[in-house]
Amino acid sequence: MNPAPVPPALAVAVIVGGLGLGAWVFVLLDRAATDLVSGRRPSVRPLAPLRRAAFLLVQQRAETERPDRAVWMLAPALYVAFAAVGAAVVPWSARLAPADVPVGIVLWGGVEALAIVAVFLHGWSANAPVALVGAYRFVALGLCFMLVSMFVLIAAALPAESLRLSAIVASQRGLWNVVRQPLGLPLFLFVGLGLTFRGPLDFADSADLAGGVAAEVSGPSLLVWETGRAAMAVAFSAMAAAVFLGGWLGPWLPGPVWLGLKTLFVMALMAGLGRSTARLRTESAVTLVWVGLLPLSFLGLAVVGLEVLR
Amino acid sequence: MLALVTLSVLFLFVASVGVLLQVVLDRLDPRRLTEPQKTPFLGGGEPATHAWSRYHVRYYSMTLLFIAFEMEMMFMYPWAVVYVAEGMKALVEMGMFLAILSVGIVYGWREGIFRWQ
Amino acid sequence: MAVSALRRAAGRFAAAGPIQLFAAPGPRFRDRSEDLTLRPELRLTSSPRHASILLVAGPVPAECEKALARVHDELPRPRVTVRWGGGERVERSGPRLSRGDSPGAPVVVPEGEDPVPALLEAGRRLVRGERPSEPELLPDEPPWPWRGQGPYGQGGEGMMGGRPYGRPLAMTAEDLRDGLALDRLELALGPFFPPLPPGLVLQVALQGDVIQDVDVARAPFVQPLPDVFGRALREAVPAEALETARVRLLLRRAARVLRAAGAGALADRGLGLAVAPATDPAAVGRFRALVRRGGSLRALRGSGSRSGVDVGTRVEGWLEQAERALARARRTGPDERTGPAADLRALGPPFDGDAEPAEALEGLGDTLPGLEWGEAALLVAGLRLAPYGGGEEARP
Repeated sequence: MNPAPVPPALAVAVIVGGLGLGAWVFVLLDRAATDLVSGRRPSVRPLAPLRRAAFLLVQQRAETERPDRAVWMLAPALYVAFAAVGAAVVPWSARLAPADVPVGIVLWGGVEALAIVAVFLHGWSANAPVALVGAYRFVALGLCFMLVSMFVLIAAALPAESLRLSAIVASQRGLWNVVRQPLGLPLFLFVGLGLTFRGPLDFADSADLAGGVAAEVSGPSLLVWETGRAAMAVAFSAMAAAVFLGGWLGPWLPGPVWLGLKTLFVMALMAGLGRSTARLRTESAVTLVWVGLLPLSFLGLAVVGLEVLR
Repeated sequence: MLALVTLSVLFLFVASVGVLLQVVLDRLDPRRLTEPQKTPFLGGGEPATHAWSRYHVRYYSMTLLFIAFEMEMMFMYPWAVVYVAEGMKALVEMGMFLAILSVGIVYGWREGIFRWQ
Repeated sequence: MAVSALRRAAGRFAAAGPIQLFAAPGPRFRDRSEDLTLRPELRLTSSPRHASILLVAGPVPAECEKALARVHDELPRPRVTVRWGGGERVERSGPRLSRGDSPGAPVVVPEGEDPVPALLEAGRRLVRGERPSEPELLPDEPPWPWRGQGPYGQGGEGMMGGRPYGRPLAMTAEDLRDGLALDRLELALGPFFPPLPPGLVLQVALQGDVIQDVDVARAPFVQPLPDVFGRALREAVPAEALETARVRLLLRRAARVLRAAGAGALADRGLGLAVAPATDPAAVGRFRALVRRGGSLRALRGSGSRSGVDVGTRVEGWLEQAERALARARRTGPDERTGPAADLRALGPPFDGDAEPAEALEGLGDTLPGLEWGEAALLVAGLRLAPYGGGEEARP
């Protein structure tokens, strides 16, 4: 019994609106996390992200000497679009899902891979040395954490006997995946930090590269880029909430509200983790993923596999 | 089927809004950029060359290992769907597959493909 | 026109938010411009393209003026320059503060004053559209003149023929580590590059993201030694004041490395502790615990170890010494004085762990090649490359 599809126009409107609202909330959470870690009292200024957006709309759009203009403008837009597609796969309730494809996990894997490509193109197309270095070193980590993400998600698909996200959520009726697969959520959070390049995996547009991938970007292009970063965090949080925290499952409140609350929880986790750790060395990060996290994800897969067969 | 329509419409809509926002605001802006404004930022210094070059991608060997695991992932997708029906046999087979590839990881690690410097 | 009305409305809405600022500190102003990160109304950016104000702090020498002009032009419009404490020459050249003056007047803040009100005023007026943006400083000429003959520059002598696109492409060279012959990017990381100390100009050759060759083209600007240490070299000073100043210096250094390592919020915390009027031992302890247990030290450990200077160990050492110095400060009586020290190293941590700046700068040519970019930035952040000097003691 699969959820009924929502009419496309409505689905697009809700997802775009939801991502916009979520991005706004994520920026506020991020600032609150920064304030907390810096020892200041968190002051929630709700209009601040909007004011920044207005400033970026007014600022001139910078260019470099010989960029690939078309790709440079396309890349941040693609990043936001992939975030939107990733968020669209998540079911809202037992009966409603915007785009419940039978291979939801595979689609999310595709979104991750293409998002890495979008970030790379954003840095490469600027034809600036600092941006190029940021783009290439991000791809190194991107390849690594993509694998971790896939194994973790496949382990979540085992109890559901399906790659469809609504089935995965339904399979958590008795037990949430965060308990059944204890290594799953921490590993997936690591992947999320990499996807949005924050915290220990802050390789793409970090301060040690003087802005990295985003160093030559200003004005409306910077607005699209920063919106994309926040939107990807929201999409990832929705995915994590659906796959590990039971999505729309929960008593008393309607399904979408539960989904929203769980997404908010994961967004807060991401904001906090992203601000409290220093960046790993690229070599250390790559070795950590291949020699540490990937075997851990195999272990998680084995644990779930044995438990499901009992 | 409808899901694919939704996804395509969503993707195209968001991507076009993103691109149009940049293009339109750029066209509306009467201010033109001068050549020095377009210098890549290096703290006041200048780059001697274009940035586009044959960049030494030091993790090339790691990407080969990545491709091997990616193909293995392709096989794991249908495996996950039929896993419960197949039982212990499926677990053992996938375990063997992963073990063989893990030998590849260990070999690569010892050969230093995760070290760049 | 509807568009300009919308733009003005957006500008008015945006002006109430934090103002983006790119700092180009000159001699003696590094610490003071770093402290501006603690102000919530300002945001210091790592790239001039994200900023609308260029803060030129201190007397930038004439030889760096061209680089400064280049950075100035890289700020997108609307932009404004605020000069802070440029010394006699700058202060005489223009009117004081632009408050109430004609909107396009240059903004100059004298050295002793707090620049934040002038910065906010200028920035807000700029974004609202009340103040016109500054024009570009450098002439509109391409950096490399058109060379070659023919409509596409394809004619010319030799194998390369013409160079149709002006700036050349990178040439091939062998890599340090594996001898692979791929392209080599050569950059001049200028005097106002945020990951480097201000004033340092490095000619860097990169292959991939590993540094192949480093040449120091210009030493960093001098920075002032904190007042107490300067006096401690000449006379006996109260021990408590010396230890407190030591704690502040150690915390500031640790914050600098943490910022280079991407833990900006933690760095703000450390900097806030270093700047606060009274250092609270409990707060310093909490900061150290956050850095240690939050994984930042683990992330830093091993960085730069190939060149013999483990950045993580250094930061750990600094934080430990800070706690010990704080304990010493609380134990000493108010009348205890420490005698004059023979030289800087005799003053204790962190000076006894520093190499001479001139030596460290020369050592860069050996330590940096072979490191990848992030690690090199961390290493440079952990070293003291700016010589102490400038004569006058630092004002708080």
